[in-house]
Amino acid sequence: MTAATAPTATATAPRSLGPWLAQTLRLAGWMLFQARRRVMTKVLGGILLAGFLLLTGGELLAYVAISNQSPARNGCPPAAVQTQETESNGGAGFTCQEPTPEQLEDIKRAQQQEVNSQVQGLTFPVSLGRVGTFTSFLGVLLLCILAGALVGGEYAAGTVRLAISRGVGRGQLVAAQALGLAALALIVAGAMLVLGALSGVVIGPALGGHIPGLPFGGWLELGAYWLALSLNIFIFELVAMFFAILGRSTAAGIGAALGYLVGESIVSTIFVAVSQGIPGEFGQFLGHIPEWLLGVNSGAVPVYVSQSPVDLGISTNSVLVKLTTGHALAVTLGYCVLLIGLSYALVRTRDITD
Amino acid sequence: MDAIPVSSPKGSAPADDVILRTVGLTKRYGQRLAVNQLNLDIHRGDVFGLLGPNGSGKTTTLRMALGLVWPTSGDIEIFGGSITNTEHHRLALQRIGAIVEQPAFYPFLTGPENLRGVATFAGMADSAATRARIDEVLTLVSLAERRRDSYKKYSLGMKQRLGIAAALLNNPELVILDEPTNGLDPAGMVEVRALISRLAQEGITVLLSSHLLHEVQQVCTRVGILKEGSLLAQGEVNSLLATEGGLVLSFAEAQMLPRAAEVLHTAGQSGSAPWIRGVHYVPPEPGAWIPPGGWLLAVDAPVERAADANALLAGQGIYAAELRRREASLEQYFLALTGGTATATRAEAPVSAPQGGTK
Repeated sequence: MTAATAPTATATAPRSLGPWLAQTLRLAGWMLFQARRRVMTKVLGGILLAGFLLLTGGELLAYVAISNQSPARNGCPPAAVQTQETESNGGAGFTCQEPTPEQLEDIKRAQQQEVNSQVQGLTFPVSLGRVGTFTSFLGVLLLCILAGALVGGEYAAGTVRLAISRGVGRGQLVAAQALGLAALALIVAGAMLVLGALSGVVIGPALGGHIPGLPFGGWLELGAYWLALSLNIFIFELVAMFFAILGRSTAAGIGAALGYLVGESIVSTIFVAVSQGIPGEFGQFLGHIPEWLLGVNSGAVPVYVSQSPVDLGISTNSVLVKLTTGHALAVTLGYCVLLIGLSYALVRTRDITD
Repeated sequence: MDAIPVSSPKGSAPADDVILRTVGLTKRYGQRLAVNQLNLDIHRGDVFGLLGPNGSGKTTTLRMALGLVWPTSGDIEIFGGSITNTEHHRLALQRIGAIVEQPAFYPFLTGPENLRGVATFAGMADSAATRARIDEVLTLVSLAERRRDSYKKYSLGMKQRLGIAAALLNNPELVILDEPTNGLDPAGMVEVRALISRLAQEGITVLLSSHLLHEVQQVCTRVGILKEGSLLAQGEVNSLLATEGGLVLSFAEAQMLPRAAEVLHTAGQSGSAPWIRGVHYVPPEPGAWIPPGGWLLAVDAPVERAADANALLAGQGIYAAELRRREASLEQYFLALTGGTATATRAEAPVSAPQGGTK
């Protein structure tokens, strides 16, 4: 080390005392930079991409299998139909008969419908619904891990101490983390939808699918669907952030968020199942509990948003309990506020000794 | 400036000269009192050493100044404003450079990338000037050659150097360094010492905590000494050590030691030699000549009275084999004040020789 060029007291430091928000946005940008430089991000991104390719490959295989499927059943030769054997012709089994032309026509029509449905799922815009559903599962899971690592890592490395001792406000720190996580959710959901769109405009039409012209409302719906998917990811990132701050570690953030993700899914299913077996008000009460759970509501938002004016092919039956879009959105946003508030309360009041 | 009483909340410097002041600062962790009614004044241009045994509250005090730990009571004023004014404190922190305990950086980022993060935290613009400043401080701490390596590949000493670079990045007016030579090799320690001296010459205030008292004595202009969270003394190093000066006598015959002690003590007490403030036995410094009996006689008296002390003894037929100025060290002062081993060697009653002293 040489002290020959020690800084002078009068040197003008490139110092910016800009508004709080500008600084907070820069901190959020710093969080994204860190995320980009982490090996974990690349690994998780690779897993998500591989998952998408597997999903698409699986759909293509299914298409090929359905397209080449013989109408025969239970060992009957192609173009034969099964008939139930009767007592008189030898026992309770099946026998093969040549189909009538009408029967053959019905079989082919049913098979074509199956093929069309498969092609539609691989064609824009329904391809977005397929990718969105996938992202709601694997994307959420992987981003819980990344969020826990990003926020908990600040405690593990001690960099939270570095930030606060350099003038970053505690509220600013939490706000920047929440903004950074929101940006990550938007980026990942957006990237997955772009992949879904690309596959939908390339693969679907190549298999004979037709891309419909979207009305303006349809484009708005796609934008809303992107935001809804991002919100579903973001809320679980916030769970990871809260627990990472609470436990001051990466493990706490990741473990608790994944535990909650799985736990809520199990608990809500149990509540619904048990409520159906218990008559009366208590049963109804139990059945209503999932309506207020975080994951049920956040997962319902993209499903409901995807219904009209363009149907992205996601059944509302996939939502565990019947909700309205407004209810699901309000409850999800309420949880966002609660988790950010609790995180701030923890950071605001605690001594930073990590 | 003389050492001020522990209870005095104000230094002698004018208020606008004080860059950091703690007023009745207290931190309690449950039942444990980590910092107790601490009143410190750090003046502009000081190289202030915060000293104390492990657990004396040094790091907690620095953490409170840096906004990491909330005081239980009391206040800290930095750059003329209280830390209870959140916005003032936030802006004040952007004028401070600090390392608290071990430097903390992102292990997967390179040195320059980590400094870019520090610049963001400190509110520095993302500009060519900032990038140039990053290069400048990396060169300053001799890490420019390793700029492509991630932090996790750095040695302990390199990590400490990066911490110093981060502390200097925003051209701070106040640099807070908690054990800055931790992990550095002897050459690195010398360089840090030189760097601190240079910062002080350029008017940058340095608040330093260290266990290396020899280092502190060489670079610090003022010190504060803590024990169990309480301030035992603060003041200019030279003033504090002046009280530790005096004379040291050794004798060729062991039996002369208690006799000399008796003569000098009596002379001091009776008023015939009022300049003798005290007499006590001390062991020789490690590696020094060990006189018969194994002890030396320390006399708390001005150095210019050495000839008078010699004459007093000679008048009684006692001749010292050696009479020299007693070199005061911060280490001796610190140990005496905090109840370390040196205190145990100080005999308050000089009339009876220590064990072994009369062999």
